[in-house]
Amino acid sequence: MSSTAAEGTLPLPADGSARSRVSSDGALLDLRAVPPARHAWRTLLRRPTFLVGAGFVVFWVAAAVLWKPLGFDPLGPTGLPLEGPSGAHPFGTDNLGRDMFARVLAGAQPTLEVAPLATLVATAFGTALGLVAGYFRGVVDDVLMRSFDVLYAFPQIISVLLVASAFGHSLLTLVIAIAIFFTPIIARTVRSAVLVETNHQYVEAARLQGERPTWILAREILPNILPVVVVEATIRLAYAIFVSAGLSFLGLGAQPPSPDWGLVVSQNRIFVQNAWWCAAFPALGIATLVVSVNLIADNLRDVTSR
Amino acid sequence: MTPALQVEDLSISYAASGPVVKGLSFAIAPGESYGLVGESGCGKTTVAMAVARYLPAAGRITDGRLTVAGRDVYDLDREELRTLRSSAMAMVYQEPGRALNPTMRVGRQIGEVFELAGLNGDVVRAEVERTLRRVGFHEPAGVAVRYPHELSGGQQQRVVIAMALAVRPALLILDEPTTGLDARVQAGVLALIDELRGELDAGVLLISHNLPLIAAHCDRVGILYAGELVEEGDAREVVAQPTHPYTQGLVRSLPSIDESKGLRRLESIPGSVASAAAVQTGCTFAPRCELATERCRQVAPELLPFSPEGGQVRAVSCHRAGSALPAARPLAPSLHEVSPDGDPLLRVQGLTKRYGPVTAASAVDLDIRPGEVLGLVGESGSGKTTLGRCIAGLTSYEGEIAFTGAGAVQMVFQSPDASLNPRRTVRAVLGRAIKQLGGDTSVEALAAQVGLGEALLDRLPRELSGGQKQRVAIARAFAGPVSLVVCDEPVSALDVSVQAKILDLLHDLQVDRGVSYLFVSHDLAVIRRLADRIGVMYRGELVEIGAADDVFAGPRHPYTEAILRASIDDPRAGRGSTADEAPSAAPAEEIAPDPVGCAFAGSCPQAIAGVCAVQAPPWREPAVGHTIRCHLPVPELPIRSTPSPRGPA
Amino acid sequence: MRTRSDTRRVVLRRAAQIPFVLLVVSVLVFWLVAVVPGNPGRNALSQYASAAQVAAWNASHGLDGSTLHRYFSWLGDFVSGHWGTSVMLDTPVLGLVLGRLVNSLLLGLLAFVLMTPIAVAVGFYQAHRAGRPSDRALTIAAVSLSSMPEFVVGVGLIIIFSVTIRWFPVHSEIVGGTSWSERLRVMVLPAITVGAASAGYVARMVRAGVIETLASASYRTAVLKGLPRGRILLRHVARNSLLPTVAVLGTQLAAMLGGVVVVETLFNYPGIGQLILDAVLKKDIFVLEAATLVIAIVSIVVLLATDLGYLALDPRVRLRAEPA
Repeated sequence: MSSTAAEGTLPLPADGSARSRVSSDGALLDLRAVPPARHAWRTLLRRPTFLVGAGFVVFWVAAAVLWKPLGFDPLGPTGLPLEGPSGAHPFGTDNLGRDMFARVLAGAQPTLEVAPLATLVATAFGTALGLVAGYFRGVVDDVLMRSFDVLYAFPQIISVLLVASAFGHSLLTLVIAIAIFFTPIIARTVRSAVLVETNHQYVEAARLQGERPTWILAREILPNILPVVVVEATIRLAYAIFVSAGLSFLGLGAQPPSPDWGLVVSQNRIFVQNAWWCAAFPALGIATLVVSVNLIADNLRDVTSR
Repeated sequence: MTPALQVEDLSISYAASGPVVKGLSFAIAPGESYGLVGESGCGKTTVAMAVARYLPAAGRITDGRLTVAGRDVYDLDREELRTLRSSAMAMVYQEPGRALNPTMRVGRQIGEVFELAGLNGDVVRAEVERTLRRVGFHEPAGVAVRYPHELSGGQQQRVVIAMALAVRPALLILDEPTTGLDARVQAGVLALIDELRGELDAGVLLISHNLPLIAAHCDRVGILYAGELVEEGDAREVVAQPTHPYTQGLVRSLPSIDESKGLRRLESIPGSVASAAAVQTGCTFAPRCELATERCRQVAPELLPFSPEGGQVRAVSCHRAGSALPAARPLAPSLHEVSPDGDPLLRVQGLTKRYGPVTAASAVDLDIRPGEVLGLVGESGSGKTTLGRCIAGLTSYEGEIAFTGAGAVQMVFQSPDASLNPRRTVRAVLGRAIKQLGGDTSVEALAAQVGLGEALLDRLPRELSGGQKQRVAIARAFAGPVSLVVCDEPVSALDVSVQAKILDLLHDLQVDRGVSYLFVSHDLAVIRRLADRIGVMYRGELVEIGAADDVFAGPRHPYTEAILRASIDDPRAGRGSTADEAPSAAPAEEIAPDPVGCAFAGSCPQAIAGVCAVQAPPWREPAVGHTIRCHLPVPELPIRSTPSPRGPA
Repeated sequence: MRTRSDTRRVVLRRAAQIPFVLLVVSVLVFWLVAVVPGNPGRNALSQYASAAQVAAWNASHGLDGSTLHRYFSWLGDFVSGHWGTSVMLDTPVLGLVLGRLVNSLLLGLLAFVLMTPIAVAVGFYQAHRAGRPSDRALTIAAVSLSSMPEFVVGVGLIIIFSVTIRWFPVHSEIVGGTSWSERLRVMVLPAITVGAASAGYVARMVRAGVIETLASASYRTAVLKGLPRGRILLRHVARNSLLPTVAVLGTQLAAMLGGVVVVETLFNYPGIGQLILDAVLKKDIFVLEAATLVIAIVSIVVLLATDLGYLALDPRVRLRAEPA
């Protein structure tokens, strides 16, 4: 008799839980000698959703950098108004006869300027703030948590919208507005990761050894929470694209005649009944970029939480 | 008669790791209790899950048969399996807090079992209350409406047992049922199980890593090593007179509360169970066996009947069954004489630690002398760890701690996983410690002192075993000049054989370096191994402190007496806890203490009505340096003759 | 993620901070509008009006004096129920904002009713098939839904359902005489758009919760008790696995409120989101103040309500209140 196991147990994911149950009873050390970072990379490169996501991101980054050198013209009319997709204009033309393909390629640029910059700023400040708040607790922590409560009691896109409208409709304003509102979110995530780590006695052992707080934060804790920071930053990047596209759509980001995707969708949606292509393709641009970044974040989280 | 459980030639494999259980056969008769013993990784929990047909998806039975009450567990359709589970078998789990549904009242969880049997309404309620009363709750109606998190660990386990017994099972599986519970609670739960077994006539499969526990509560025992049964027989005889070298090693590794400090080495089984995976031919235990011959490495032994001198027939799987292991080496004697009158290394006065409204430690006074090991014993929540952390300087406190040592205060923590940074290699950890603590040794030399080979230096903690990690943590504490090491349950997360090695190592280092230890543990036998003096804590208060031999000889505090009785006695002395000597177990419900009176008054069998609960107890001094905080006059304090310490076995 | 012991504290804190949050929001909005260059009187009266006319107009609308002075006079009026007059529409703000709020809440309600059952069902189905191709495909779908901006989803829906198969209108205007059935019809696409992101998120949370529950020791106990499958699912799996979802539902609903700005603009639906955008663009300070404060109140109430729901569902939190 070689029956299969566990009638009545629903199938579990073959990777996670089952393995950990084996190792708790089976004393497995099969990961021996593979450094965690390299192991994570290898696992990532075997995941199709990660590869697809990474592929799209690389494509859009290339588009943002190369559309000008390659001679695409997103601003001047190169055909008749509202021409459907054809060999000459694969994505058709808009109401001014501008080539939609060129506009979609060039539209990646403003998005990829705003979102990563805002994320970078927010991650840097948020991580520093979260480390300090989580390790020292006290006043910084209280202020952070209170400001988070206020922030979360209010829809973010409306907050950013108010700030962006007050300080003028420019990409720089967008960057600052998004960074301001993302910083506490990242700080809170980092803070709770720090709290988890400080519960581990290796931090106390370092204190007993006479290590200074800066050393403990930088050398003991930070390396252990780095995966959390990376995952959180990737998620925030996706949200930043989301928010900046939304504001451009509302007319509070890039201004005409910019080929920014959100703006273009907003301007062309009135033609959608006759010329679906001039709203559909820029929308697809945002969709592929933002979904790809989220897929990457998801895979990173899966791989690092093992 | 149909056996409650019959396991025939069972083999189980996991997709990732290969065979976990190999050709296992045993049977349990109705009313019989069978203990399955092994260290972690030997496959004992896998066997339990296989019996219940609840292996994880990656697990597969490759060979063999399992019958419960005569029914082949793997030859049933879904409905038949459900019926078997609901009527013929029941299980009690290691972590009762997790085994119960957190969002459902416990009465309903027990009631479900009765509803399954076709009862409903008030009948179910009455049955639930009856069952709860049977497992020791005096107010079952009040308990039934509670949620699991509102009960203590011991109470939760009683609820799980109530649930298991509601069906009158033919087979009761107990998977580490008392691991993680305090000694007194553990004794109570085990006494309950013994009592109910008599009533029910169920076959019991008790799975545990704890050999003395099995000896005290089982009829027969099977010793599992790397998924194979290596020895099986009458539980007390096997533990009293082990014949397989592995069983012998396990028994020798146990510290005993009857052996005072430094009599013999505990370390008895070299290597680790991981070496079993590499064995292609011959006996799986051969790489770790001090008796192994060429034949052992070539030919795998079979489980054959063997009659030890003056004992019943048992089954042993060993070519050299019955040959004794070489005698244990003696421990190095202490070179540093502890002077009882000299200035203390550390003096704690009136130490109090509050966490919000909770007082974790209350007005504790104690001294630690140079070169001395002070053992601190108590149940969870007694404040012993808090005291250790205050002394190490890891947390703030009220009161005074005066430290006069020239070297540092270091600490060895309980969890080997948490006490090492997962991203730093052994070399980085030790190198930094030597630099920070001002050591004049090399990483290699330091590692060698704790028995770590150079091959391990560039590994990350996750590539080390639990014992190896604890060695790194110990090495880190000894990286520089150190006067006092606070050891907080340093061996409680480890298997018996590994625990033995770490205890020996801690002893050697202490003798070698002449440092002092504050050694915190819940385990009296472990404390006895190392401690010169012993302090006993209960609910934040130090209730007794004195020389180890004095505390063990008595007179002692009634609470010390309670935990001593609850600790299962050394099986080799041939007197396990039996029915006539019922352990003084903690009751299912404990009374909250009066803030002024003695904290133990509510649970003390000798409490004086109108005094203990309302007045602060005075300090009694039955011997010089041995003080007890109790209202009872010295002649009335508990005393029990313990056998005089024996020489090396 | 928030732990259970935190939740009780969060609820109390959130209730206590409502007035504080509202005050902070009102000050910030006033200040931000004050920073904005431009003159509402000039905007309203066009470039041909004289400076005196503009000043008189501003004074009659309560828009003169220092920012601080204007703020406090506005605050006093607002608290006593006088919300002022909309500069752009010349109607009383109170009725305007509340009417638009009702429209938006209806939209949100429809989104919730349409999407939540589907999301929960999908989550359960995925957990049941965890690791198989159907689960993976649905996970990608859920990630996509939860990450795409609302206007992308909306444009997609319009192209498919309004332009290609013409089931629903492109615009969702509602006027006085619109019948309820017609209202419902025009609300379907915006509602799906508003709910899509949350639906994807909720499906993923439910999936994770169910998988965790199925791997738990308490589920094992229920199975090994020999309980029938239906009862296990209902009594032991459903509640435990939905707890983490309920815990985040509040923030999801609050995020939905943010989403309505974009969705209402896209579909031209007369809700409070569209009103806020118009007020921002036209610097209609009274409308903006009232609308943002109303949004803040609604989102706090929603967060509070879901936290209370969580407290009701998880006994471990409820009983922590009693002294140990």
